[in-house]
Amino acid sequence: MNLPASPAAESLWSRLRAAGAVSGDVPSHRDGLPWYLAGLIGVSAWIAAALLFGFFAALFDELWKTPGIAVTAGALCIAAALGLLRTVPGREFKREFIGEFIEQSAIALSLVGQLLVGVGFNEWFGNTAGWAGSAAIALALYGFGAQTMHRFLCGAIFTVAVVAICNELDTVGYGISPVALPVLAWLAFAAWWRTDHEDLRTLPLSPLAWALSLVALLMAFFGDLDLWPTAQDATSWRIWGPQIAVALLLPLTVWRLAGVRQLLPMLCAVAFALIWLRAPGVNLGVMLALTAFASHRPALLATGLLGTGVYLIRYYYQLDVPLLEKSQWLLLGGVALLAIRFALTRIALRADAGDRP
Amino acid sequence: MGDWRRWRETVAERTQLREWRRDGALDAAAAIAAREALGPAPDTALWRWFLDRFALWLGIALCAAGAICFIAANWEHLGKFTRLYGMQALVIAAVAAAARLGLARLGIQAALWLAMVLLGGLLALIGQTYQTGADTWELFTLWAALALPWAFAGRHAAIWLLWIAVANIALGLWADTMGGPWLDDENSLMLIGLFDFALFLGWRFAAGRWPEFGGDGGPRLLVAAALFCLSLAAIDAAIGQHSPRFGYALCAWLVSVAALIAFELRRSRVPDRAVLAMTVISMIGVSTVWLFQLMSRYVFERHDEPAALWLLLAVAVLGEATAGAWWLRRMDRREADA
Repeated sequence: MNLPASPAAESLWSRLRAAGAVSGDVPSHRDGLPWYLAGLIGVSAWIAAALLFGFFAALFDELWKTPGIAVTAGALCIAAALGLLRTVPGREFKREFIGEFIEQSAIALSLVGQLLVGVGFNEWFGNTAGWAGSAAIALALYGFGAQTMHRFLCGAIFTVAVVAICNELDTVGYGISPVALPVLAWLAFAAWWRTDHEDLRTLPLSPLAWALSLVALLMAFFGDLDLWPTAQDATSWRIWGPQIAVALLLPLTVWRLAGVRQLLPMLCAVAFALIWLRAPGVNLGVMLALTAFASHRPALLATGLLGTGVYLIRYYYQLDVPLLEKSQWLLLGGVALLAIRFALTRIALRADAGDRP
Repeated sequence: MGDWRRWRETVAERTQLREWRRDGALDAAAAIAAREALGPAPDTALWRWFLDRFALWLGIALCAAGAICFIAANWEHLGKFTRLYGMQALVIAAVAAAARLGLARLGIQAALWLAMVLLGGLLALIGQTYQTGADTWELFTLWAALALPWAFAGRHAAIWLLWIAVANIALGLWADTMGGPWLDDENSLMLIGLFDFALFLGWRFAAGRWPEFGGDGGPRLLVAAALFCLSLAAIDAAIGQHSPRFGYALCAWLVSVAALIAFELRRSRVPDRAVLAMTVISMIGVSTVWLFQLMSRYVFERHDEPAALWLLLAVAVLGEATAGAWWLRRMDRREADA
């Protein structure tokens, strides 16, 4: 629905017009998707999709054994969802409520369609190829279903498929593969980097970046590294590889934000990345918080900070690092941060005093 | 607070630019020109402000987590008394620094927050040393009671949130220990939910009087915790027994949800939509489980796998979500018009 411009929008437009960046009258704008509304629609879409899946499972007794039925039903759901998602934005409904209902139904239909096709693919092609197929379909729908929440949920399915593929390919041990965390963290880093240049008229990447970041944080919380190594390979790449891969992201983020010539921030980033090497959730949370502040995203900033806090509680129970070692690294990191803050405050005070006449 | 507001203003400007580009009001070249006209953001001053806060609170959180891990490690090279006196010295140092330098400074408030965590660590250390238990409800109650004056003195939302977390754990452990026929899991959850709901109301009332309770972060966290516990209790009442139980848990959830909506709508002309969105999600979750239980018992009792029931529930969820989203969007527009 188009709405008249707010006073803040009018003021911004006037400033831009005065600077010669825009011309004409201030445009009206469409309804946005604030985070609380996104949460409501996302959660209800998943519940509705689960119930619709129950409907199909109850309707077709052979759903699990006959992949053809699952894929056909899924494809029909996806086609219907895409049709609805493409129709709704261009039409004015007599009652706004109906448009909202159709849009939400379309999102739930798309989700259940992807679940059904995923079940069929797994039955047909085996697990790895089945998940790869699911990931490909989720990415295709991400491109075609032009609605922010739909894109986020397709991004979530793609991300879960990536985790599953990592698990399938990594055949040593059990539980969630430790490779999944760095893969998702790197993909999230790349997606957020790309969003700085994203053109919202073509293909916005921020819904995918959100999905990757949230699932990566969940991996950091629940991915038990201690479940993987046996005593003899405790020092092998299986432990250090993923942790180093996640730690690298912090200096890379600082390099992206401050530039490679800023030596002091870069040295600090490298030092902290090493200090938090065995606590990958802290590296990930700090990376997200810095990215969020630089790209003006308060919800991502809150997610990064909360994620770091929750991870610190979770870290206490992570058995692969002894408690005494944990306490040393945590205290070292904490004291180093406070010392740097103290030094920077002193430098800033001295600089301010020097500026005064 | 000035820098925080300045960052929020840059957030609003950049979001507006994104929306104009999304709606086609700006072409690619105009979007780039507009960004250049607004200048680089965040600027150096904002980065300095952010990194200062970030380093302070993350540093304090890491020190607190490190101290707790150190106590739990039970390092054999430190004697009993060295540990106990060392911990006490740390607590006293943090509080003395706060008292000496004045509580209005952010760094001192952070030190008091750390002292509050260390106090819990000290109590756990005493419990560990004298074998009275390091995670009993008495310990957490004592922790909450001893820390309460600091929470009042600290005058910072983060200190209050920490105190609330400790009080929640104390209540949960107490309910777990007491047990009994009435205080089962369902009613324990209900009790914690009601406690958080009462704290939410208290927080909102205090916001008009004391600045540290301003902002939406604290109330939103409290509502999330209250609704989570109350909804789980109401869901447990539906599925935890042989037949759904119309007992205290369901009543508590119904009354709390109604009171929450009424309170938010009366509190301000523009209520907090995040709180209302959480309430709608809770309503969708609880009503779906109850509808499933009641309908499979009384409407579809002769069917083994009732496909129609699943479809009906899916439509009900979509209907509720649509109504909720439509309602919240109307409030958004009302705010934009104001």
